[in-house]
Amino acid sequence: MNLSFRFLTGLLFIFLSFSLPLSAEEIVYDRYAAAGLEGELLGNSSGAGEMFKNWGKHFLVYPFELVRWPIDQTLVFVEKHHVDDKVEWVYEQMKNHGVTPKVRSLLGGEGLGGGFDIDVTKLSGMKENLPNLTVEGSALWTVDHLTLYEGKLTAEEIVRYENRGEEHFYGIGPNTSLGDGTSFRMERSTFETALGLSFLNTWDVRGHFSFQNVNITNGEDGGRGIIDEIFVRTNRQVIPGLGGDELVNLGVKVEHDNRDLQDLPSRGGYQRFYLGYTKGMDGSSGFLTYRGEAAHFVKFLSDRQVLALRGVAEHHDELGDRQVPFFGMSRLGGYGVSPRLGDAHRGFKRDRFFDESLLLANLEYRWTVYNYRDWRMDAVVFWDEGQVFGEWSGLQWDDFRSSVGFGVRISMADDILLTLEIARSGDGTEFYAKTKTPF
Amino acid sequence: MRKQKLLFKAATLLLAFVFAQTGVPFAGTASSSYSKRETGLYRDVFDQSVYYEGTEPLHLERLSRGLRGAGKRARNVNAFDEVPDSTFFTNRHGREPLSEGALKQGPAADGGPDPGGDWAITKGKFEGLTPGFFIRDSQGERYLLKFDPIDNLELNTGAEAVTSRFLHAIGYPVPSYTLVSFKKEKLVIDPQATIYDESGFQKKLTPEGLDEFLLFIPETGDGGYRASASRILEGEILGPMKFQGRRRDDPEDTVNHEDRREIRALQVFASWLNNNDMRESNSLDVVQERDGQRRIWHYLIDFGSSLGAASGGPKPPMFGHELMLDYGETLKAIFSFGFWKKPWQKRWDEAGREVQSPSIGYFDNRHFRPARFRTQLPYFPFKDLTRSDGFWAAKILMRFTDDDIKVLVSTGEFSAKKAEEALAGTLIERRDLIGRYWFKQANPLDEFRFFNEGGAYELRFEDLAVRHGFVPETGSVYRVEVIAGKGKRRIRVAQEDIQEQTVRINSDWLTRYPSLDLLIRTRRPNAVTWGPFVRVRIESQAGVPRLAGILHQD
Repeated sequence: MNLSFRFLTGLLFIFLSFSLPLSAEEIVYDRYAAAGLEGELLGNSSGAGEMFKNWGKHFLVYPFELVRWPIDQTLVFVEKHHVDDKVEWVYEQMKNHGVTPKVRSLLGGEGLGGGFDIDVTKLSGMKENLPNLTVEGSALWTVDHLTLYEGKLTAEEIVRYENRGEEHFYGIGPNTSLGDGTSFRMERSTFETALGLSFLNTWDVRGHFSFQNVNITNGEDGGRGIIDEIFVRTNRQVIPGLGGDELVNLGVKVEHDNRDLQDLPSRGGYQRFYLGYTKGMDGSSGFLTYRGEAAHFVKFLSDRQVLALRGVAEHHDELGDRQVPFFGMSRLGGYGVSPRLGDAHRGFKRDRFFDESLLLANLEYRWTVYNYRDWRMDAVVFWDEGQVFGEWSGLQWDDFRSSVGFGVRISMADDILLTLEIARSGDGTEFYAKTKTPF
Repeated sequence: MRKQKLLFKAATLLLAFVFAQTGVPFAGTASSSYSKRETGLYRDVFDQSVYYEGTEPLHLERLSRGLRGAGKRARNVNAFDEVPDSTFFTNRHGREPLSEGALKQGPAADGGPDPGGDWAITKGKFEGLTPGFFIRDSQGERYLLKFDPIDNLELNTGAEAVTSRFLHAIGYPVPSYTLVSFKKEKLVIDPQATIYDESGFQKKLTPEGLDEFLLFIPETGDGGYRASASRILEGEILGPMKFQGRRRDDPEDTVNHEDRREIRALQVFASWLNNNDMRESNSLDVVQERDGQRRIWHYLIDFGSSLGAASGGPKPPMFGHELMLDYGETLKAIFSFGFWKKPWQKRWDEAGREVQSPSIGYFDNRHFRPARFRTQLPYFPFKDLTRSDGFWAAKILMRFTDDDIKVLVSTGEFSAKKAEEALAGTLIERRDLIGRYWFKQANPLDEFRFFNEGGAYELRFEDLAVRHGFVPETGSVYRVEVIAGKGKRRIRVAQEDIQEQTVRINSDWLTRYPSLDLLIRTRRPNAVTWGPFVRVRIESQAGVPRLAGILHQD
């Protein structure tokens, strides 16, 4: 009985448990109702209160809107009218017709400027009839008055004219002073014929014969003393080649290059050896040049990290009682890159050190910090260590100079577009904005 | 040489800058009563990645919020923490599950271009990463046909069909996207048809030009072509929608867009659909007349870069992980000296640096973190997403069942069933990852119902984390604080810890206080702290209580 009662009570409890909620009346509400918005609506009228409130929140930004507006207009204009495509098309057309626009590199000693590479055979329409003939030239102008004309008459014959209005000179040897800086103008005309052979995709041998006419005069920077006054008369130094010269040069260069990429290699390297003979027509200059350069690139822990190491050794050996003119000496300082610039020692000004020989080591650690499609940015920390000296016996451990620095390099499809670097040395700090890497 | 070309382009851009300032007319018709706006990728990138990123610290309100770590509550939510229907958003699948047919059809009620007659090409866009052309079918309807990259048949077209239906089901206005297959013979060239080719100059479209274009389009097995056909929206086109600010010429546009929950929540839906290309220039404001009313509708368009696809091929590995210009990630990479491997780098390495399928592209859930998903550009509303915004979006996407997702993925008409299953599997898994994350960030109590049982009142709710299996069915405790009054006169009436999803309301409280707030917090099994709150407001008028408000903590 007791059991039955409990069973019935249980049933009743279960029944009530289920039936009560079902019989409960739900007080419904419209969950998606537009009424009763939580936030205060702004209303459509632009009242003074709202305007004042907005102004208070954003008044610091308003001046910048004056900059944004024209840029926005420009970008919309460019995209809508396909200006970038048109520019690219015009560029390709100009190039196909023999005129290739060029933009010079930015900060760091070479100045900002532009010009054209001119392919005379294409421009004159001779390319179809004479496919093997190449007549090229370039005309570049930069803001620091470096004017340069360069022409290639055939594939291996080069005519070049340079007029460098403001070359800096700080004296010869490893212990010169930045305060003794002078400037000079160098006008150089070069006629060169060369014969080259490339094989196995990685080897290149090139022999050349050239004639150079070099004129040295006072630099355009009036605020600096001229070389004669500072070094010859005051410091009683001998600066060979101050009067310029006509030089005949014969040389051979052997290069082995197995880098995976030209601009941003992650493996492989290159080795370059050069032997040259140079003799001045006025009888005062004559020397042999020996130069060895090697760079190696290795992935470090991952393919996003690369160690890059480069070493350079160069020596100019005087022939008999002849001398090495100062403009033909080894030079150290600056970002390097161009064959007519000193080797890279980035904490120092361009061509900061002159002497008959140099030893240089560059070490870089590069790592990728940004990717977007083909765009990429690498960061780099570097250490440059080098010195100039006269004879090998003059090589002194204490004469080595160090530079350290940091930079970022922006590239697209493995082609460097911009590199921004800052370097520090005993001389001070140097900044660079370039479109190439030093090695 | 590319370098010189780019530098040359940069120099001529300066000229364009000058030219653009000389008053070259931009689109805009004097007859329109609405202002028109033009933007594009370039402007979007500059504005969002450079300008607003740079000036953000100068926005005093944002700066103040940033320093305090405070969120800003969305301003277009109603008293029940929901987004009412508007020209920006219509509650669809989140309100009532759509049928299989409705999901499949999505916004494509028209069925696509008429297959019966010729399609006349009226305009071509042959340059750029996503070439296509505009057609007019035999019924006079206009469509934009877009194609897949040469090595990735079905990739972008499939993504567009699938994502447009997802977003439509969620609630956004989306144009009709239909997949079409056709033979070359179906195309005729309108005598007035023009193209922009790679030269950037507009030219007359010729049969030779069309043949050249088709050379770069992948053929289907039967020698035809596959495209996504997007119906050209009818009405007055006003240009892309702004993701911040509002239209002053639209009486319905009363809340700044960065304060609109559905705009903020695009960040969450984009993370689900891997649509990192969610940007202003992929939206469109259109004046349309519906039911005799002329209103501005705010459409989302162009989904070819969602799921595993991007313009020109599979998604690059960093997409979805980093902004286009991600200063923070770049600085981290700089200061870690390369010894920190970014999540997308790990993911790419783990994938063997290969995409999973040419038709699906690069889409998986390795190293996917819902809060770390990044669209290409950093819009303010995406930054302003709060916990309750994220919860709102997550509860909508959790309404999509596995079967719903499979149905929607099938609209991509992928020929490889295995690839289709993989895509659906990734979306199902990602849905759960997002749901789990946002249900943890906010208090996932929802679907509140208020009952009167003969004078005894009950508030019932659903714990969505329990419902979806993210936490065990038992063991969660809900702490209910009953607070009466408003402002400084608030008093705590009672506090109770319960385990069932029902709160019994003492009828005395309702008699004594015209307004009661139930502040409910949840403690999960093994957790020691209470999570964020949900505030449920009950108001009594003339002795009749009603549920007056719900608020999830931001």
